[in-house]
Amino acid sequence: MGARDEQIPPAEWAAAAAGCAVLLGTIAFLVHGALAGPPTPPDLLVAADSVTHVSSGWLVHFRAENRGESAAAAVEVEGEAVRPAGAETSRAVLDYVPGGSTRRGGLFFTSDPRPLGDLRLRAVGYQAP
Amino acid sequence: MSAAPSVPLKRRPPARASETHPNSAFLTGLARAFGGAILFSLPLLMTMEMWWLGFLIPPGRLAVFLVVALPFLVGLSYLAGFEDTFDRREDVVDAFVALGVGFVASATVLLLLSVLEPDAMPLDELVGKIAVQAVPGAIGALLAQSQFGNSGAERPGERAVGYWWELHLMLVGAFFLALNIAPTEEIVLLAYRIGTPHLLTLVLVSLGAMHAFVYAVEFRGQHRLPEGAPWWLPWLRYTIPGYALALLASAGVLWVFGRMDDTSAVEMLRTTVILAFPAAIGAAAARLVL
Repeated sequence: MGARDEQIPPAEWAAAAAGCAVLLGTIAFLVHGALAGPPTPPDLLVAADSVTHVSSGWLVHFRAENRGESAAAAVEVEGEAVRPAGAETSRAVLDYVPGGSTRRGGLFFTSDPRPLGDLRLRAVGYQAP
Repeated sequence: MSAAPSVPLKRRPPARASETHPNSAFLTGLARAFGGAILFSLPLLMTMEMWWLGFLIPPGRLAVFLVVALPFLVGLSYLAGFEDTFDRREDVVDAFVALGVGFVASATVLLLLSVLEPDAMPLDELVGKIAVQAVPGAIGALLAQSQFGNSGAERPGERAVGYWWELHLMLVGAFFLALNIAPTEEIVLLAYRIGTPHLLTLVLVSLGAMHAFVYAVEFRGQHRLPEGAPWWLPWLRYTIPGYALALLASAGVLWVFGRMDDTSAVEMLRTTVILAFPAAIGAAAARLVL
């Protein structure tokens, strides 16, 4: 691009070839994805990573993994700490969990939610974006 | 939102090595193209709805968008360049270069901003996020030629182009403004809120503003009405078709960005009319500036 006479300089051909390759590669990738059929629905798996003691009690760091291909919006995550004195439930909402992706969050508890093996974490519902 | 710069550079710079060596002239132009791509697509690169579109937009739709954009970019490549003749080969080559620049510039900025996380995001999402930004980047790369080009041979706005090219110019302006405004939530929010009297007024104001921009307000690069032509001729030939193009560009962009899915015809129309207002201004501005 720029002032030129009759010839297109080799650097420009190279750049155009690269641009063409990137474009065609992207289109091929997208068409392949499109032909693979409708995406599978969201499949959310929530797991606790760690617990920290904070000023208001305890914080459970969790990650929500979407094993489906569709994105889920407004994902409500619920954690239930079951103990003899009574269960404590906390909730969090994640804006988006795209297909095949993981998003992180935290749940606050007033009493110690450990051991993490007794903590029941799950995604309760979502909105189709 | 971005607006096209209003003062094109017109001075002829002193002769440089780039004017005698075609490869280095091209590389200088390429650097300018990157600058233009980043300048014109930065608002979209920093809009979160565009990042979400990366994983929300169905891949087939994004492929259609890229395919349809290509002839549009070839036309823009002719309009933004400085040659008088339509050399198909050169303009096609330039369009591909611009797309390559669009892809690379978008990927670079998104990586820099941590919007792309190659180790955490699946490939679908990464490709989607870059591809959706590539077309505005390519438009910016091509516009960099007309706005910041160093060849002072022709002054922008004085090029004589045929009627269909004028229409293409308007489509470029409309498309560019529509692209910048359509992804965000505000456009549908306006459609929900606006009453019909306001909507009808908006149509009239869009038409009037388009006409005024080009004919009545003495901008540099303004088109003169041909001698002895009836007053309604420019309306019929340019303003009304231009508004139609603004409506089509708006509808197309809204469809690509998923704003038309599962929506009633009335809502689709309202959203289109609202988006056509800035698109119409963009169409008129393109005729002045390019």
